Amino acid sequence: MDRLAVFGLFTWQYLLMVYVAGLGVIQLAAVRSGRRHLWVFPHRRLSALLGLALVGVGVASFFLEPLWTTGPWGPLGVGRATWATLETARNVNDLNGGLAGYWQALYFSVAFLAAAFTARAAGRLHR
Amino acid sequence: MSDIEVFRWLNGLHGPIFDQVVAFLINDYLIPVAVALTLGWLWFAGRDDEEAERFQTAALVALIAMAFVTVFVQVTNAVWPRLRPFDALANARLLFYPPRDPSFPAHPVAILTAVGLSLYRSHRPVGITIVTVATMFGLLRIIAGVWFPSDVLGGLLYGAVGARLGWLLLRHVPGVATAVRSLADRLGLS
Repeated sequence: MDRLAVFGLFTWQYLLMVYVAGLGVIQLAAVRSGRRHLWVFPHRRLSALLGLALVGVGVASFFLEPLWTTGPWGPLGVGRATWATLETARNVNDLNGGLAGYWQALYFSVAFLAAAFTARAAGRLHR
Repeated sequence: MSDIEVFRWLNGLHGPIFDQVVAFLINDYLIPVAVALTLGWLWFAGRDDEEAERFQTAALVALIAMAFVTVFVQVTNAVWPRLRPFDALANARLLFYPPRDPSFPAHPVAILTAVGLSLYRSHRPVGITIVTVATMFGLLRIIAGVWFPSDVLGGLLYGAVGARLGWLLLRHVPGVATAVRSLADRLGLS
């Protein structure tokens, strides 16, 4: 797999993680502040539970994905990671397709904004 | 003890499980994303107008501070491209991929510190936690052979300067915060 293919893989997985976890964080914050227009569900407790679940699923999926996706993961080379090698799977240099800091900043902003607009759209459904 | 002696001591700490934990915690994503999500949480978490304004202003200061820090780090890297420990020293143990940018200052530590100190005035527990995490992140990367101790200290210093400048900028140009909050309000994201 060449550098651009690895970069593409990291890009989509990173965007998905931030979108899902970001939506969760927004739910948790909106429940605390009472911003009902951002709640996905019209119930406080349900929105809080959804928030916690989304943060967990978003982050876990990013770090567990090397178990079922083929790639050059960290120092492991091409193939899938195992539970024994998972801790180094995401340690990929940006020269080899990992995400440099500036790409992370851009992708984070895009995915988090998308999550915020999703929350707002969901909130409108039950107003 | 000199910088290299402290590095040697920390880099010499090892054990099978310890190495695995360190290798996981120092990745480029976990802690930076967690801190960025915290920033996002803060934007929406204010319970009333006063708290929301305080939180959102602090989040904006953090963004400005990150920009300052990045400029300072790039300039420093251009002026003094310090070698990484694994390039500069024989037998340095490396638990991470070999980064190719200069070692000083520790850029992620500077960014995390800038965020932590920017938030400190508005949400003290969050600010203290983030600065603690930044310091731990730096220590773990010394153990992993990525930075010298002085790189981490430099990162903490750059972060502090960035946060200070961020607050000064918003204090002298308060219209920036008002404009951003007003735009967010119009978009329903305030």
